[in-house]
Amino acid sequence: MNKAVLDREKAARLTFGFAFLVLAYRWFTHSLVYQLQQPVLYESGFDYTYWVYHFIRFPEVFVDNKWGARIFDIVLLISTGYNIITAAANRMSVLICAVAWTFYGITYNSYVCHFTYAISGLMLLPYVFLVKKKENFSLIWEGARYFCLYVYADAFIHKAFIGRNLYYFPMGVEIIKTNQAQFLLQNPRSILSPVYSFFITHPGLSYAGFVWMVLLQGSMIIGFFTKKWDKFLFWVPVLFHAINYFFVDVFFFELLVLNLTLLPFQAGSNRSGRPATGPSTYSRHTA
Amino acid sequence: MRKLYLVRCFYNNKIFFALLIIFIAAVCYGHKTNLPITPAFISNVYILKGDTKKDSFLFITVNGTTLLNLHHTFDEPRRMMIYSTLETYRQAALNGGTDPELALIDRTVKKHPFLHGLRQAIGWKAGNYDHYLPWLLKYIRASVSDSVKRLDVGVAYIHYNDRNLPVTDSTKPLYHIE
Repeated sequence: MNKAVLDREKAARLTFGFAFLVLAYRWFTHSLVYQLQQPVLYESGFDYTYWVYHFIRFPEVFVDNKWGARIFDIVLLISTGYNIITAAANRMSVLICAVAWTFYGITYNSYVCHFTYAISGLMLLPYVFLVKKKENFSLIWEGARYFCLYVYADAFIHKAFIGRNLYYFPMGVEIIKTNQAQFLLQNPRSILSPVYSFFITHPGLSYAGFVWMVLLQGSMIIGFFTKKWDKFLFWVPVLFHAINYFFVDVFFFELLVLNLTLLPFQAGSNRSGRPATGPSTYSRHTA
Repeated sequence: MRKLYLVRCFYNNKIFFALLIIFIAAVCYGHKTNLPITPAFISNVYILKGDTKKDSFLFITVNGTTLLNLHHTFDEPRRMMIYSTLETYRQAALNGGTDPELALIDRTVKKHPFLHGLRQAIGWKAGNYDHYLPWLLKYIRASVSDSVKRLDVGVAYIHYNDRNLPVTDSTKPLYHIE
C-alpha cells in the first residue's frame, strides 16, 4: 500500500461518479423522488433525524408536490454531474449535492416504509469534499475511512456480543428462509431455487456460511489498527455484498462507495511528478 | 499518543473534532437506547435470534391473470416500494387505519418528553391511509406497465415442511383496485 492512487481530485471524481451511477440505477428502478408518484404512506420509525425531516415539512414541498419532486431530482442530477466535472472544486455545489443526497436517502427510506442502509454511504461521504485544504481533507477522508470500517465492525459487534445470534445454530437457515420463501414458491424453475433448497435442507452448511459472513464483517476491525491491510479489506465488503445478493436477496452495491476510502490516498497531487507534501501517505498512520 | 486519529483531529481541526465527538456520542446514545440518529447508524440488521416469522406473504395479480413477479434482487428499490408499503398498509388496516408504529412512538415520547415537539410533526394525516390503494395502482402503472388496469392483492399462508422448505397452505384475497 505504498503507492497512492487517490488525491482529492480523483477521490471527488470517483465519489461523485459513483453517485451518478447510483442515480442512474435509481432511475432505472423507478425510485427517484418524482418517480415515486407522490407516495402517501411513510415510516418515521424511531430515528430522530427522520422526525426532524417531517418536522421541517420537507415532504410537503419536495415529495407531495409533483413539481417540487421534479425540481429536487434535477438538483440532485445537476449537482452530482457538476461535481464530477469540477472535481468538487466549488464548496457550494458540494454542499447542495451532499444535502440533496442526505434528503434523498431519508425520503426513500421513509416512503418505502423500511430503513435500508444501502444509501448510507452517499448520505455522508459527499460532505467530506466541503474541505478543500489538502491537510484537512486528508484528515477528514481518513475519518470517512473509519466510518466505512465502523459500518461493518458495528454489525459484527451486534451479532457477536449484543444480539449474540452468531452462536445460534439455525440462524443461517432462518435468514435464507425469511428472504427466499416467496422466491422459492413463485420461481420453482429458477436455477437458484435448488441452491436455496440445498442450503435450507443443510443447516450446518448454512450456519457455516452465516458465521463466515459475520467474521468477514468482523475482519474490518483490523483496519482500525493498521492501514497495511486495506488492499485486502477493500474486497471484504465487495465479497460480503455479493454473497448477500444471492442468498439474502438484498442489493447493497450503493454502500460500496465507502470502499473508495480504503484506496491508498495521498494528500498532495502527484501530477507534477514530485513527491506529495503535507501529511504522509495513509499507510503510515494508525488509529 | 499523537498518532491517534482523535488526537490528530484535536490538534489539526477543532471543528471536525467536535463533529466527531458528536457523532461518537450519537452512536453511543443509539446503542444505549436503540434509537438511532442518522447518520450515526446502528448496524443491527439480523441480530435477533429465533425462528422465522414469515408465515405469509403478499402477492399481486395484474389484470386478473398475471402474477406480479419482481424477483430480481437488483430490482429491490422498486419491489420494496410496492411490497414494503403494501405490508405497512396491511398492518395499518389491522390497526384501524393508523400508523402501526404510532403506539410505540408515543410510548417513546413519554419516556423522552423533550421529543414532544417533534412528535407533533409525525404520523399520517387523515387521508393518507385511504389514498394508499389508488397510489399503489398509479405507481405500478408508472413503474411496471401502463397497461395495468386492475390489481388484486392477496395473502398466501405458508408453512415449512419436514425438510424446512416452504409450502403454500391457502390464499386469501385482500384488496381489489381498479
